[in-house]
Amino acid sequence: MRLLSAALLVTGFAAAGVQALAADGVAARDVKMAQHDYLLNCAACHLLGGQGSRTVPPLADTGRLFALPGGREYLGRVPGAAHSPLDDKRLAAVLNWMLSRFGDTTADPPYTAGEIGRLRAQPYLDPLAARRRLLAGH
Amino acid sequence: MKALLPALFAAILFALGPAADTAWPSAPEAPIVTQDPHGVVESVRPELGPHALWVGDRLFRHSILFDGDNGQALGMVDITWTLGGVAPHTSHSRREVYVVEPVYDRGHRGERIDYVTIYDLHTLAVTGEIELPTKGAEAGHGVALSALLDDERFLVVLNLVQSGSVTVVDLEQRRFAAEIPTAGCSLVYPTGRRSFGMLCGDGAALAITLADDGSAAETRRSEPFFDVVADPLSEKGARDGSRWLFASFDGYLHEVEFTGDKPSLVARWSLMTDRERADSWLVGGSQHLALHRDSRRLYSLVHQGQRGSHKDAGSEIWVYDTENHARIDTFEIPALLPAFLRPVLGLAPDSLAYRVLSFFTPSMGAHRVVVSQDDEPLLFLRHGEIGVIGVLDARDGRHLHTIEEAGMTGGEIRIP
Amino acid sequence: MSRLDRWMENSSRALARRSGRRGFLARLGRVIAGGTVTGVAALPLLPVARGQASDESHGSRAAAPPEDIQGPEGDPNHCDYWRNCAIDGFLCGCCGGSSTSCPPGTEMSPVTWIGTCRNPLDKKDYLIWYNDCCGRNPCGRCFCNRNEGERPVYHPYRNNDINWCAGAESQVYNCSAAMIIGLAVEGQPEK
Repeated sequence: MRLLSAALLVTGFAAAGVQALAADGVAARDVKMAQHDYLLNCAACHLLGGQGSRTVPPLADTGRLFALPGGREYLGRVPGAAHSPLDDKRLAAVLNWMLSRFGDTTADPPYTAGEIGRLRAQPYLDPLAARRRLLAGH
Repeated sequence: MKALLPALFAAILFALGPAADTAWPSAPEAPIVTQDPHGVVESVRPELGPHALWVGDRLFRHSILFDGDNGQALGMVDITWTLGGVAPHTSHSRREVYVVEPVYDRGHRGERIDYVTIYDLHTLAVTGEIELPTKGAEAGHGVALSALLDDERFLVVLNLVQSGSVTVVDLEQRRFAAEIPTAGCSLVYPTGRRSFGMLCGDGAALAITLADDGSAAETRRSEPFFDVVADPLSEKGARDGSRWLFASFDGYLHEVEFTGDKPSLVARWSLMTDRERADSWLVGGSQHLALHRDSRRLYSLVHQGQRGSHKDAGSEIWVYDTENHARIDTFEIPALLPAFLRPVLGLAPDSLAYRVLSFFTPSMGAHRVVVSQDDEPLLFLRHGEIGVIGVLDARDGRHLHTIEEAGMTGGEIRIP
Repeated sequence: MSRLDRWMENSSRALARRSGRRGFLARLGRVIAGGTVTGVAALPLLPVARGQASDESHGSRAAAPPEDIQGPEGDPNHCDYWRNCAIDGFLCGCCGGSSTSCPPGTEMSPVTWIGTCRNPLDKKDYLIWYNDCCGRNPCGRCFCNRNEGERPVYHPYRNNDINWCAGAESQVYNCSAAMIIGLAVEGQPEK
């Protein structure tokens, strides 16, 4: 049952991802790649549906965080993103996809490889404090 | 386990015995003096020799202190981790032993509280405990999950819950001192009086120096210096003062200096020739690197394997001079299995059957190696599934003896 | 070291990794039993694996991986089973659960690590979700130690030494299951 729901979840958000990003002209192939990269490198802790767990915050928060001043930088500096074994281009694609899929928002302009390369070079040691500062508006 | 049953029965009979005797009349008579003194509890001798060794055991969840010269057990401390078999830390100045452990209020169920349990090094009696946040990380290899810093005041414990941090414990005041966020970095390596290092997910190293209250006085990060995807560093390193030596999966030794402006890679050299690499020689194991600091000799467990064999047992020990970056010797790893089977099969050490068994049993290699730091150093070897310790002369690789019945399975080994 | 010694060691090394703690006995058994073992390995797969395959076929994703694999690579309770390519622990199928479910009385840890394994039949890579089952003492059966694409603790989501029960209610590790998330676009980068 657990597996069935997991399979449906994957199928479901694959479809949603395609719809959301197709409008931006992103090729379905790229969406598929971003989804693959998310599953392989992020879902271990954030889980298949991005819901997080007892110890991991849900990715639904990313839309709200992204909209705050400094939020764009924050998402590129979180160690889970910054230290992932993805090159800058693919990490940028995952973040763009993730915001659309889980954050209910669009990265505008989308993250680029160059921007990600700069951000991930300064990973946070204390992302929870950075998040608190972000939410407190300073 | 079967070997334990007779002992268990004996214990039950012993316990039942006096109860059946309670109806005897209590007429006054001369006191019974037993031939052997009754109720004696031993202590560990005041000075541990340089060849003492802690041997962790996953199955019985304790760590035994052995005298490596003669294989005698000196005592043991309990460790409750379900996976680890982690060996404890020993403070010689404070004469204490520290075990980091989670404790459940119903054995292995119920509420969990993490403690540093403190033992007296002489009596091995529990003399105190320090409650910690319930966050301590547990990993099967047991390596670099906690570190006793050099002035023996602070103990640092790795946490992997949420984004990652370390818990700092003040051993002098016996209290939790601080939690330091270290997201993205992991494992803890002592590097000095009050400093330790970590390895990070972007291929960088982190160096943290503590203030008097155990908080982070200074946190310094290196530039990324290794490729976490193509050729990652094994976390099973060997300490060299403020430096740590790490071998990469492809067999390149990285000497990392944790002091200075920021941690840095000071040397990188190959443990294998091109030819050896082509012959599939790789480093691997659970504690596969050991350094004898005075002689600058580095011992590396190696095997012939492929990607994914980085936890396999080493089939040989390659010995290097770290000054010249050159291999100077190769040690064979003795077959440890016969010594493991001997007591199980009930064979006498000098029996023909045991000699035949020893002759025909191939070596299955070793997963762990540590070296003592004295002038007549010993190498201690352990295979993850064979509960004995092979003891070699670290100077020439001679197999001196094997410590039998040294824990049933796995477990870290550590020089106290 | 004698030539015989080295030969035996070379052949035992790969086996020890793949068949784990029982490796020595398994090897002995293989030598003694010869063809018998092959017969056992050729038994049809457990119904669990089939049931799960049909679950996945409901989705519009890739078709379920073919599982009619002969030999240990097709036996979920064998270390060589293709999905177990990075399990360091006890197989739940030998502990009262299955390769995709936890034993009775345990709880599946929500967090875990994810990698890819190649199905030998269609030569495709699948995303595998390794979940630890928690709340009972270590199972102690079918110990495997395979580490293809496994990485040190500084990449926790690719490390199988960590007790992943850290994310569950009880942090006592019992066994590990391996579930397919879906077809991978490519093998994980560490391979």
